[in-house]
Amino acid sequence: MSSPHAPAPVPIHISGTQALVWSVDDIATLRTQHRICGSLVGTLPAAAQQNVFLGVPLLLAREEVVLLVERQLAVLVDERASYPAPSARQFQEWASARREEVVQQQKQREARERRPPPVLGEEALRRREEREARRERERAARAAKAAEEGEELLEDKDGVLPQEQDQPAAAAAALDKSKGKAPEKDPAHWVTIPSSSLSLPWYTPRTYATLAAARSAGLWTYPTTRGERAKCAAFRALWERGHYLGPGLKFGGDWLVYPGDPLRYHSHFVATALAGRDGTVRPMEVIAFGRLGTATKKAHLLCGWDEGTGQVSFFSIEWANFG
Amino acid sequence: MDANVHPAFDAVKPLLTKYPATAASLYQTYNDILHAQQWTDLEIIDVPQSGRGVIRGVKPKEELPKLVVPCDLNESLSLGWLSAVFDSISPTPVEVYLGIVSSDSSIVYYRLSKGIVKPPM
Repeated sequence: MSSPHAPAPVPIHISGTQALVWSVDDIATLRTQHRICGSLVGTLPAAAQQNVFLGVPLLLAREEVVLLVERQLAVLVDERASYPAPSARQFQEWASARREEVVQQQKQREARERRPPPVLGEEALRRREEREARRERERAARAAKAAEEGEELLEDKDGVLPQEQDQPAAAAAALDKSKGKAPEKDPAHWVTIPSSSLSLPWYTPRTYATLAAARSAGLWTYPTTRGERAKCAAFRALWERGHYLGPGLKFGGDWLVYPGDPLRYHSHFVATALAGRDGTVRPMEVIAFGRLGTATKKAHLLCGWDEGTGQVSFFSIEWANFG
Repeated sequence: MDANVHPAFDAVKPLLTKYPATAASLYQTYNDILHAQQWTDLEIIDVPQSGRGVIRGVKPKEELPKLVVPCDLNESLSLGWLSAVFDSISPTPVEVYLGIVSSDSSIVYYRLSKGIVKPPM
């Protein structure tokens, strides 16, 4: 139900089977207004292995997507179908904007090259002369000492030692080379690649406001099986009770159930949605759930979905502490 | 008394014959609760909706009676069945213990509460 004052539905960009949110404002809205946290999965191309601090985009769990679209808090965007070819005019405008940027860069570079080198004030000049004289005196002292001890001073005039004692010739040659080489030529111009394609003039999002529409278009088909529907029902029931939900993989369940924002609270429960016919559970699973929950100071929450009534019933499991 | 019959047999005998499928788990659990866990005031309640007898007694250092529902490791339980246990016993229990018996007669007990019940701190 959207009211006149409700925020506009958040666009969820579907890429393959992944539901992504790219706008930082939308991510904040989802978390603070809709209690949907998702997981940040963005990393740096140059440091792809680091996973301590991740950024945009936000990856939404499938049950989170279903809940948001069902409550009309979000719409699904078919990314692959949202970039029609630009019109001739749009292309001309884009190309001429690029050319203009190159021209601006060249003008700036020419202005930099024409600028005279900075002039040192009297004070700065005097200090530089003193510094150089001091260096020369120190070097002369070292040479005298070396000569006293019968050794040759291996430094060159800048006080730099060759890298290897047995290859003074090669080292000297390398030094000469690096001094004589011309600096690398500046590239002719830089090309700016915008980090978001949503700002391109010909971006036309193909959106779907209902799960049914997305399903018949083949964009989003979750949930399909009875087990998946049970998971969505359990997620919804827990969310409607005011909880925050996070991924439960680390604790052997479907979700972690938090009493408040996960940044501020520890979770009290690990929840598992029972997918079996009539919500069957084996005693071995009860033992595994209960033991794991107790070891981590949480209780395990079994969620059973009655397909007929649509009701979800909950049972909390804990080790009995005796026996 | 017949020397070949276990002293605890009399207390559980009627329900062992009524529910033969769960006889083993009821028998083992009863003996464990009585002798090893040392609960007191034990009685066996017939709960047809769960297809077995359920043990009610008082844990050491407690006052109010609690329930132990025995089951076998190989059984398949359902939440409907669990709900029936809560709904058909009066007064409606807040929690029950599930006593899971395996074929080597080890028993583990897990506490089941209906609803979202926070773990104690």
